[in-house]
Amino acid sequence: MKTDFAELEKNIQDILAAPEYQDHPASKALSQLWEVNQEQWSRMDRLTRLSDSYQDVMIQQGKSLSERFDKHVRQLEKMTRISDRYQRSLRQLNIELEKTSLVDPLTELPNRRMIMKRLSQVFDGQQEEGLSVAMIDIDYFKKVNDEFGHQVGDEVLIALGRLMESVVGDHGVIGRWGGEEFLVILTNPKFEDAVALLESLRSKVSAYTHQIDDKTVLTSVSIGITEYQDKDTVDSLLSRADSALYSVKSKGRNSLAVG
Amino acid sequence: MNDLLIEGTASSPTVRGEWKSGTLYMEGDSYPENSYELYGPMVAWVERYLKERSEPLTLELTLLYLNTSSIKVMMDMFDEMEERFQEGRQVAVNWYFDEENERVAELAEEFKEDCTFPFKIIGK
Repeated sequence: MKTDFAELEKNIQDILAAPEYQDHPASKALSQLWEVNQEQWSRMDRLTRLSDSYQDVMIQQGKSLSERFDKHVRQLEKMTRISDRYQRSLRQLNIELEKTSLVDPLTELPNRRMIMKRLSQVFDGQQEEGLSVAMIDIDYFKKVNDEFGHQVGDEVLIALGRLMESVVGDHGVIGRWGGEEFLVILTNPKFEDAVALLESLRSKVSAYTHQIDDKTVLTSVSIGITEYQDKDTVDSLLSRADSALYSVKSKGRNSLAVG
Repeated sequence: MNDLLIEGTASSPTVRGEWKSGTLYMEGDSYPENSYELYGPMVAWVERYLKERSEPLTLELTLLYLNTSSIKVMMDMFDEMEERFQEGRQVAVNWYFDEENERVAELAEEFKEDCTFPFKIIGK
Protein backbone atom coordinates (compact mmCIF):
# COMPACT_ATOMS: atom_id res chain seq x y z
CA MET A 1 0.00 0.00 0.00
CA LYS A 2 1.19 3.50 -0.81
CA THR A 3 1.71 5.98 1.95
CA ASP A 4 -0.43 9.09 1.78
CA PHE A 5 2.26 11.66 2.44
CA ALA A 6 -0.14 14.62 2.68
CA GLU A 7 -2.10 12.83 5.39
CA LEU A 8 1.07 11.77 7.23
CA GLU A 9 2.41 15.33 7.14
CA LYS A 10 -0.84 16.68 8.46
CA ASN A 11 -0.85 14.12 11.29
CA ILE A 12 2.69 14.99 12.32
CA GLN A 13 2.02 18.73 12.17
CA ASP A 14 -1.14 18.24 14.30
CA ILE A 15 0.86 16.25 16.92
CA LEU A 16 3.62 18.88 17.00
CA ALA A 17 1.06 21.68 17.35
CA ALA A 18 -0.90 19.99 20.16
CA PRO A 19 -0.01 21.76 23.51
CA GLU A 20 -0.59 18.57 25.56
CA TYR A 21 2.32 16.77 23.82
CA GLN A 22 4.66 19.81 23.97
CA ASP A 23 6.96 18.42 26.74
CA HIS A 24 6.86 14.78 25.79
CA PRO A 25 10.34 13.47 24.72
CA ALA A 26 8.77 11.70 21.73
CA SER A 27 7.36 15.02 20.55
CA LYS A 28 10.82 16.64 20.74
CA ALA A 29 12.37 13.77 18.77
CA LEU A 30 9.56 13.96 16.23
CA SER A 31 10.07 17.69 15.83
CA GLN A 32 13.81 17.15 15.17
CA LEU A 33 13.06 14.39 12.71
CA TRP A 34 10.55 16.68 10.95
CA GLU A 35 13.19 19.41 10.54
CA VAL A 36 15.77 16.97 9.17
CA ASN A 37 13.15 15.66 6.79
CA GLN A 38 12.27 19.18 5.56
CA GLU A 39 15.93 19.94 4.98
CA GLN A 40 16.38 16.72 3.02
CA TRP A 41 13.42 17.60 0.87
CA SER A 42 14.75 21.03 0.00
CA ARG A 43 18.16 19.49 -0.76
CA MET A 44 16.53 16.99 -3.05
CA ASP A 45 14.70 19.87 -4.72
CA ARG A 46 17.93 21.74 -5.34
CA LEU A 47 19.61 18.63 -6.69
CA THR A 48 16.75 17.99 -9.04
CA ARG A 49 16.84 21.56 -10.29
CA LEU A 50 20.61 21.44 -10.81
CA SER A 51 20.41 18.14 -12.60
CA ASP A 52 17.61 19.46 -14.81
CA SER A 53 19.50 22.54 -15.79
CA TYR A 54 22.61 20.50 -16.60
CA GLN A 55 20.47 18.31 -18.76
CA ASP A 56 19.10 21.43 -20.45
CA VAL A 57 22.59 22.66 -21.22
CA MET A 58 23.53 19.29 -22.67
CA ILE A 59 20.39 19.21 -24.78
CA GLN A 60 21.09 22.74 -26.05
CA GLN A 61 24.68 21.81 -26.82
CA GLY A 62 23.63 18.67 -28.59
CA LYS A 63 21.07 20.65 -30.52
CA SER A 64 23.55 23.29 -31.65
CA LEU A 65 26.04 20.58 -32.60
CA SER A 66 23.46 18.76 -34.66
CA GLU A 67 22.34 22.06 -36.17
CA ARG A 68 25.93 22.80 -37.16
CA PHE A 69 26.34 19.30 -38.49
CA ASP A 70 23.14 19.63 -40.55
CA LYS A 71 24.33 22.95 -41.90
CA HIS A 72 27.66 21.51 -42.97
CA VAL A 73 26.02 18.53 -44.59
CA ARG A 74 23.70 20.86 -46.47
CA GLN A 75 26.62 23.04 -47.56
CA LEU A 76 28.63 20.03 -48.61
CA GLU A 77 25.81 18.63 -50.70
CA LYS A 78 25.29 21.96 -52.35
CA MET A 79 28.99 22.46 -52.98
CA THR A 80 29.18 19.06 -54.60
CA ARG A 81 26.23 19.89 -56.80
CA ILE A 82 27.68 23.23 -57.86
CA SER A 83 31.13 21.72 -58.46
CA ASP A 84 29.64 18.93 -60.54
CA ARG A 85 27.76 21.47 -62.57
CA TYR A 86 30.95 23.43 -63.16
CA GLN A 87 32.72 20.26 -64.20
CA ARG A 88 29.94 19.40 -66.61
CA SER A 89 30.04 22.84 -68.14
CA LEU A 90 33.83 22.72 -68.43
CA ARG A 91 33.59 19.38 -70.17
CA GLN A 92 30.98 20.77 -72.52
CA LEU A 93 33.16 23.79 -73.24
CA ASN A 94 36.12 21.52 -73.92
CA ILE A 95 34.10 19.55 -76.44
CA GLU A 96 32.99 22.76 -78.14
CA LEU A 97 36.53 24.08 -78.07
CA GLU A 98 37.91 20.91 -79.59
CA LYS A 99 35.26 21.03 -82.26
CA THR A 100 35.96 24.64 -83.16
CA SER A 101 39.69 23.97 -83.20
CA LEU A 102 39.30 21.10 -85.67
CA VAL A 103 36.45 22.20 -87.92
CA ASP A 104 36.56 24.85 -90.62
CA PRO A 105 33.85 27.34 -89.61
CA LEU A 106 32.88 28.21 -93.19
CA THR A 107 32.56 24.84 -94.90
CA GLU A 108 32.22 22.84 -91.67
CA LEU A 109 34.67 20.35 -93.14
CA PRO A 110 37.68 19.21 -91.11
CA ASN A 111 40.23 22.03 -91.02
CA ARG A 112 43.92 21.79 -91.87
CA ARG A 113 44.83 20.85 -88.28
CA MET A 114 42.35 17.99 -88.22
CA ILE A 115 43.17 16.69 -91.69
CA MET A 116 46.89 16.68 -90.74
CA LYS A 117 46.01 14.79 -87.57
CA ARG A 118 44.07 12.24 -89.61
CA LEU A 119 46.84 11.98 -92.16
CA SER A 120 49.45 11.14 -89.52
CA GLN A 121 47.06 8.62 -87.93
CA VAL A 122 46.44 6.91 -91.26
CA PHE A 123 50.12 7.18 -92.11
CA ASP A 124 51.08 5.27 -88.98
CA GLY A 125 48.73 2.42 -89.76
CA GLN A 126 48.70 2.27 -93.57
CA GLN A 127 51.05 -0.69 -94.09
CA GLU A 128 48.14 -3.08 -94.72
CA GLU A 129 45.86 -0.98 -96.87
CA GLY A 130 46.50 1.55 -99.58
CA LEU A 131 46.89 5.26 -98.96
CA SER A 132 46.61 8.05 -101.46
CA VAL A 133 46.39 11.77 -101.06
CA ALA A 134 44.84 14.31 -103.40
CA MET A 135 45.26 18.06 -103.38
CA ILE A 136 42.31 19.92 -104.92
CA ASP A 137 42.27 23.55 -105.95
CA ILE A 138 39.23 25.47 -107.23
CA ASP A 139 40.11 27.00 -110.60
CA TYR A 140 40.08 30.76 -111.00
CA PHE A 141 38.46 31.20 -107.62
CA LYS A 142 39.81 34.74 -107.31
CA LYS A 143 37.71 35.64 -110.35
CA VAL A 144 34.55 34.41 -108.57
CA ASN A 145 35.32 36.68 -105.64
CA ASP A 146 36.16 39.63 -107.88
CA GLU A 147 33.13 39.22 -110.11
CA PHE A 148 30.43 38.25 -107.62
CA GLY A 149 31.83 39.42 -104.29
CA HIS A 150 33.16 37.52 -101.30
CA GLN A 151 29.70 36.57 -100.09
CA VAL A 152 29.11 34.58 -103.26
CA GLY A 153 32.68 33.28 -103.08
CA ASP A 154 31.88 31.89 -99.62
CA GLU A 155 28.65 30.33 -100.85
CA VAL A 156 30.51 28.62 -103.68
CA LEU A 157 33.12 27.29 -101.25
CA ILE A 158 30.39 25.91 -99.00
CA ALA A 159 28.47 24.35 -101.91
CA LEU A 160 31.56 22.77 -103.44
CA GLY A 161 32.68 21.53 -100.03
CA ARG A 162 29.37 19.70 -99.63
CA LEU A 163 29.42 18.35 -103.16
CA MET A 164 32.97 17.01 -102.85
CA GLU A 165 32.31 15.56 -99.41
CA SER A 166 29.32 13.66 -100.79
CA VAL A 167 31.49 12.17 -103.52
CA VAL A 168 34.28 11.16 -101.14
CA GLY A 169 31.73 9.68 -98.73
CA ASP A 170 33.02 6.70 -96.80
CA HIS A 171 36.03 6.23 -99.03
CA GLY A 172 38.09 8.77 -97.15
CA VAL A 173 38.22 12.19 -95.60
CA ILE A 174 38.13 15.61 -97.20
CA GLY A 175 39.17 18.75 -95.40
CA ARG A 176 39.77 22.40 -96.18
CA TRP A 177 43.50 22.87 -96.55
CA GLY A 178 43.24 26.65 -96.71
CA GLY A 179 41.76 29.29 -99.03
CA GLU A 180 40.30 27.43 -102.01
CA GLU A 181 42.44 24.33 -101.49
CA PHE A 182 41.14 21.01 -100.20
CA LEU A 183 42.94 17.83 -99.24
CA VAL A 184 41.54 14.33 -99.61
CA ILE A 185 42.87 11.26 -97.82
CA LEU A 186 41.78 7.97 -99.42
CA THR A 187 42.43 4.50 -98.13
CA ASN A 188 41.31 2.50 -101.15
CA PRO A 189 43.40 -0.63 -101.50
CA LYS A 190 43.66 0.00 -105.24
CA PHE A 191 45.13 3.25 -106.46
CA GLU A 192 43.08 3.08 -109.70
CA ASP A 193 39.89 3.24 -107.63
CA ALA A 194 41.16 6.33 -105.85
CA VAL A 195 41.99 7.97 -109.16
CA ALA A 196 38.58 7.03 -110.58
CA LEU A 197 36.81 8.47 -107.55
CA LEU A 198 38.68 11.77 -107.83
CA GLU A 199 38.07 11.85 -111.59
CA SER A 200 34.33 11.53 -110.95
CA LEU A 201 34.62 14.28 -108.31
CA ARG A 202 36.27 16.53 -110.89
CA SER A 203 33.57 15.94 -113.50
CA LYS A 204 30.75 16.50 -110.97
CA VAL A 205 32.24 19.83 -109.93
CA SER A 206 32.65 20.76 -113.56
CA ALA A 207 28.97 19.99 -114.18
CA TYR A 208 27.88 21.92 -111.13
CA THR A 209 26.45 25.41 -111.52
CA HIS A 210 25.85 27.93 -108.80
CA GLN A 211 22.92 30.26 -109.46
CA ILE A 212 23.05 33.84 -108.15
CA ASP A 213 19.94 35.79 -109.15
CA ASP A 214 20.11 35.68 -112.96
CA LYS A 215 23.83 34.93 -113.07
CA THR A 216 25.44 31.53 -113.16
CA VAL A 217 28.75 30.78 -111.53
CA LEU A 218 30.66 28.01 -113.28
CA THR A 219 33.50 26.29 -111.53
CA SER A 220 36.00 23.53 -111.97
CA VAL A 221 38.78 21.98 -109.97
CA SER A 222 42.34 20.88 -110.60
CA ILE A 223 43.53 17.79 -108.79
CA GLY A 224 46.95 16.36 -108.00
CA ILE A 225 46.86 12.82 -106.64
CA THR A 226 49.61 10.54 -105.42
CA GLU A 227 49.93 7.12 -103.85
CA TYR A 228 51.97 6.19 -100.81
CA GLN A 229 55.35 4.71 -101.65
CA ASP A 230 57.98 3.05 -99.51
CA LYS A 231 60.10 5.48 -97.49
CA ASP A 232 57.50 8.19 -97.91
CA THR A 233 56.98 10.69 -95.14
CA VAL A 234 53.86 12.81 -94.66
CA ASP A 235 55.79 15.72 -96.13
CA SER A 236 57.08 13.87 -99.19
CA LEU A 237 53.57 12.53 -99.88
CA LEU A 238 52.02 15.98 -99.64
CA SER A 239 54.71 17.62 -101.72
CA ARG A 240 54.21 15.04 -104.53
CA ALA A 241 50.48 15.73 -104.54
CA ASP A 242 51.25 19.44 -104.58
CA SER A 243 53.62 19.19 -107.54
CA ALA A 244 51.07 17.11 -109.45
CA LEU A 245 48.48 19.84 -108.79
CA TYR A 246 50.92 22.46 -110.08
CA SER A 247 51.49 20.52 -113.25
CA VAL A 248 47.69 20.47 -113.85
CA LYS A 249 47.47 24.22 -113.19
CA SER A 250 50.22 24.97 -115.69
CA LYS A 251 48.62 22.74 -118.31
CA GLY A 252 45.22 24.38 -118.33
CA ARG A 253 43.26 23.26 -115.22
CA ASN A 254 40.01 21.25 -114.80
CA SER A 255 41.86 17.98 -114.92
CA LEU A 256 43.69 15.48 -112.77
CA ALA A 257 47.34 14.52 -112.63
CA VAL A 258 49.06 11.65 -110.87
CA GLY A 259 52.25 12.56 -109.05
CA MET B 1 38.84 54.48 -44.59
CA ASN B 2 36.51 51.51 -44.32
CA ASP B 3 36.46 50.78 -48.05
CA LEU B 4 37.87 47.47 -49.23
CA LEU B 5 39.89 46.68 -52.34
CA ILE B 6 41.34 43.35 -53.37
CA GLU B 7 42.96 43.67 -56.79
CA GLY B 8 41.93 41.01 -59.27
CA THR B 9 44.29 38.56 -60.95
CA ALA B 10 43.83 36.02 -63.75
CA SER B 11 42.57 33.55 -61.16
CA SER B 12 40.72 35.86 -58.76
CA PRO B 13 38.15 38.59 -59.15
CA THR B 14 38.46 42.26 -58.28
CA VAL B 15 36.69 42.80 -54.96
CA ARG B 16 35.57 46.27 -53.99
CA GLY B 17 33.64 47.18 -50.84
CA GLU B 18 32.01 50.58 -50.51
CA TRP B 19 31.32 51.23 -46.84
CA LYS B 20 29.22 54.34 -47.47
CA SER B 21 26.75 52.74 -49.88
CA GLY B 22 26.97 49.28 -48.31
CA THR B 23 27.88 47.65 -51.61
CA LEU B 24 30.32 44.85 -52.26
CA TYR B 25 31.38 44.27 -55.88
CA MET B 26 33.01 41.09 -57.15
CA GLU B 27 33.94 40.72 -60.79
CA GLY B 28 35.89 38.00 -62.58
CA ASP B 29 36.79 34.32 -62.31
CA SER B 30 37.67 32.78 -58.98
CA TYR B 31 40.08 29.86 -58.70
CA PRO B 32 42.85 31.17 -56.44
CA GLU B 33 45.22 28.79 -54.65
CA ASN B 34 43.96 29.75 -51.22
CA SER B 35 40.44 31.16 -51.30
CA TYR B 36 40.08 31.33 -47.50
CA GLU B 37 43.20 33.46 -47.17
CA LEU B 38 42.35 35.68 -50.12
CA TYR B 39 38.74 36.25 -49.13
CA GLY B 40 39.40 36.55 -45.38
CA PRO B 41 39.40 40.38 -45.48
CA MET B 42 36.25 40.35 -47.61
CA VAL B 43 34.33 38.07 -45.24
CA ALA B 44 35.55 40.18 -42.30
CA TRP B 45 34.44 43.36 -44.08
CA VAL B 46 30.95 41.97 -44.61
CA GLU B 47 30.70 40.79 -40.99
CA ARG B 48 31.91 44.15 -39.71
CA TYR B 49 29.49 46.04 -41.94
CA LEU B 50 26.56 43.94 -40.74
CA LYS B 51 27.62 44.48 -37.13
CA GLU B 52 28.45 48.17 -37.19
CA ARG B 53 25.91 49.53 -39.64
CA SER B 54 22.17 49.22 -39.85
CA GLU B 55 21.85 50.28 -43.52
CA PRO B 56 21.17 47.69 -46.24
CA LEU B 57 24.00 45.56 -47.66
CA THR B 58 24.04 44.69 -51.35
CA LEU B 59 26.36 42.29 -53.16
CA GLU B 60 26.89 43.08 -56.84
CA LEU B 61 28.39 39.95 -58.39
CA THR B 62 29.72 39.34 -61.88
CA LEU B 63 31.29 35.97 -61.31
CA LEU B 64 31.82 33.33 -63.95
CA TYR B 65 33.90 30.42 -62.74
CA LEU B 66 34.31 29.49 -59.06
CA ASN B 67 36.47 26.68 -57.74
CA THR B 68 35.20 24.59 -54.84
CA SER B 69 36.83 26.61 -52.05
CA SER B 70 35.48 29.84 -53.55
CA ILE B 71 32.02 28.26 -53.63
CA LYS B 72 32.38 27.51 -49.92
CA VAL B 73 33.37 31.11 -49.14
CA MET B 74 30.37 32.44 -51.07
CA MET B 75 28.01 30.02 -49.33
CA ASP B 76 29.31 31.02 -45.90
CA MET B 77 28.79 34.67 -46.82
CA PHE B 78 25.26 34.04 -48.07
CA ASP B 79 24.46 32.02 -44.92
CA GLU B 80 25.66 34.90 -42.77
CA MET B 81 23.46 37.28 -44.77
CA GLU B 82 20.50 34.93 -44.46
CA GLU B 83 20.92 34.85 -40.67
CA ARG B 84 20.99 38.65 -40.50
CA PHE B 85 18.01 38.85 -42.84
CA GLN B 86 16.05 36.61 -40.46
CA GLU B 87 16.87 39.14 -37.73
CA GLY B 88 15.36 41.91 -39.83
CA ARG B 89 18.39 43.27 -41.71
CA GLN B 90 18.03 44.41 -45.30
CA VAL B 91 20.44 42.43 -47.47
CA ALA B 92 20.39 41.62 -51.19
CA VAL B 93 22.39 39.93 -53.92
CA ASN B 94 22.44 40.89 -57.59
CA TRP B 95 24.22 38.29 -59.68
CA TYR B 96 24.88 39.44 -63.26
CA PHE B 97 25.56 37.12 -66.15
CA ASP B 98 26.17 37.33 -69.87
CA GLU B 99 22.99 36.18 -71.61
CA GLU B 100 25.11 34.16 -74.00
CA ASN B 101 26.30 32.10 -71.06
CA GLU B 102 23.15 30.56 -69.56
CA ARG B 103 25.25 28.18 -67.49
CA VAL B 104 26.22 30.99 -65.12
CA ALA B 105 22.53 31.69 -64.46
CA GLU B 106 21.93 28.02 -63.60
CA LEU B 107 24.84 28.11 -61.17
CA ALA B 108 23.63 31.29 -59.52
CA GLU B 109 20.26 29.54 -59.11
CA GLU B 110 21.96 26.86 -57.02
CA PHE B 111 23.29 29.53 -54.66
CA LYS B 112 19.95 31.31 -54.56
CA GLU B 113 18.01 28.19 -53.55
CA ASP B 114 18.53 28.48 -49.79
CA CYS B 115 18.34 32.26 -49.55
CA THR B 116 15.07 33.92 -48.62
CA PHE B 117 16.48 37.45 -48.94
CA PRO B 118 16.21 39.25 -52.32
CA PHE B 119 18.52 37.42 -54.72
CA LYS B 120 18.31 38.56 -58.33
CA ILE B 121 19.94 36.85 -61.28
CA ILE B 122 20.22 39.44 -64.00
CA GLY B 123 21.12 38.79 -67.64
CA LYS B 124 22.87 41.54 -69.56
